[in-house]
Amino acid sequence: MRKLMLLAGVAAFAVAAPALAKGQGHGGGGHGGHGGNGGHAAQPHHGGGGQGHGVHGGSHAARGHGPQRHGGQANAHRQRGPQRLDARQRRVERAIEHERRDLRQARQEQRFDTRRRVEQRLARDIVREDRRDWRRWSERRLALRDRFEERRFERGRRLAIGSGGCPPGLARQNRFCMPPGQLRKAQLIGRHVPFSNLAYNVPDRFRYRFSDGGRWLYRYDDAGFVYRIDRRSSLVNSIYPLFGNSLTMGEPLPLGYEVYNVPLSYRRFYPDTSNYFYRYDDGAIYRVNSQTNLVDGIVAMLTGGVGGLGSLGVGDPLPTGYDAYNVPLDYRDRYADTGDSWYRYADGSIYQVDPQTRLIQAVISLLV
Amino acid sequence: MMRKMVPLCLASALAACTSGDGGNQGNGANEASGNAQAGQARTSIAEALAASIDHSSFQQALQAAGLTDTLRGIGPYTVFAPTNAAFDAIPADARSSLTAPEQRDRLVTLLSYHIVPGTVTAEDLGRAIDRGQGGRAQLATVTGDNLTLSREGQAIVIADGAGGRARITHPDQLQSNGVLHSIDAVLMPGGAQ
Repeated sequence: MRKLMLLAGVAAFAVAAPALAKGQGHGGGGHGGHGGNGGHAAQPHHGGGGQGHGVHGGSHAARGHGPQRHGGQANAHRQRGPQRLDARQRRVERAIEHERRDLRQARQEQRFDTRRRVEQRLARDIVREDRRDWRRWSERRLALRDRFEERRFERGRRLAIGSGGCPPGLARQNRFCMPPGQLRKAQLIGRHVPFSNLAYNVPDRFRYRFSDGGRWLYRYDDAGFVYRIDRRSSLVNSIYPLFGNSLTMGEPLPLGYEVYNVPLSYRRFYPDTSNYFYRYDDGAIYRVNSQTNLVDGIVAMLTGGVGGLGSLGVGDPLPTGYDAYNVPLDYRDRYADTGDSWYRYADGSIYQVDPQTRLIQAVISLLV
Repeated sequence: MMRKMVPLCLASALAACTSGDGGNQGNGANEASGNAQAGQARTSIAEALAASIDHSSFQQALQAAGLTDTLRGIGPYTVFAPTNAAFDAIPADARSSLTAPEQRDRLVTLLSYHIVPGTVTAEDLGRAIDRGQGGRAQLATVTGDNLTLSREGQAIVIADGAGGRARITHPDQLQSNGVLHSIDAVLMPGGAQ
């Protein structure tokens, strides 16, 4: 459409150009009416000359100009005719050329615009596709995880029921053997629990791990378990024991704990022996009977595993709960509170704290 | 993390801590240990509890939870030990459910709520309360949850996460791996019923 309009503009200019040129050639204001007449433009050479005489003759006669002069002008008009024609043609050609150039530019811009729009659309599509992929990927991952957990609990349920509990022989070989208490918990998966409508109640120290999100709610029962509940269906999806999230008293040592992992400062006190293994998990060092492979005791409790002072270093703020001086008696003469420094103990180390800023200034290890 | 390594063995040092008031002059805590039972400082907290007729329920609960070895280990810990009378005050149903094998995790959490890292004497507690805002001090347990301490007359009172209160009845029983304070109620963490 735009192209047609541009061509029409060129044609109109081509028609108007001779008439315009004629008006300019005479220099008389009285020819304005003719210039505007498209019909005269069809015969620019002949008609134009005659008309020019008539008008100019009257006017020059009144001013006392001689006829020769008029005749000379007429001759000059006649002689300049072909030149004017050439000039007009050149102008028309130039105008046409300009129009063509404009048209080319317009087409080029149009192509650029189209290409840009296509590119933008493609980019948007790619972003959308990426987002879809990411969503698909995360949904697939969640679904896989859920399926894995369901299978794990299902398998544990089968094994525990089949074996009538958790005998040491089976326990040694299989981590999915569950004691009756946990088995009862596992059977709540896929069901409603009465506390699902309660407010968020996960203990503070575990909130970083179990926080309500778009899909899941986390609720704590009073028996040390956190329930993951589907927000839409209100059904239990998973259950997590809190204390010793992986190692649990009376249960077999799970897979993944084959490697000795006791914190360095405690290793001299708790080395693996032929009778016992020691493993660290979630703020505690557990003792495992090497014959039965069952976790049978907690030999040390550390604050570091529950986000306490033991997990902090120089520059960290002193957490709440350390208002009281608690340095072991044998170290009090060296590490006594003063106006410039406080000292607090956790996990085999003494922490020097600035009383004003409450920032940890130094960590002094005692267990080496 | 900058760590100044001190070539000392805490365990051996604690084992050697027989006087109960060794080396705390700088803090003035030796006055508090005047109340301590210096003669018993060679025994661990676990052994002291086993020998105490007032804490047999607490001792049994620790054994059921598998925490006896913790209190026999290097520590040091501060333990708020409920007396038998405190355990008797718990409804029988709740008490029996606590000792059931399937409730062991709950029992571990409950008992750990009575254990604090380090050695905190009654005087340390009193000083922290006096210095604290509103006459209160916060004490972190090994579970990561805090206890709130305040004074009631001469006694020190502990408020737990469930809104209960316990009074320290027999403070500063110094042991080789920490200190015991007898209390007259069982402490319940937040979320417990």
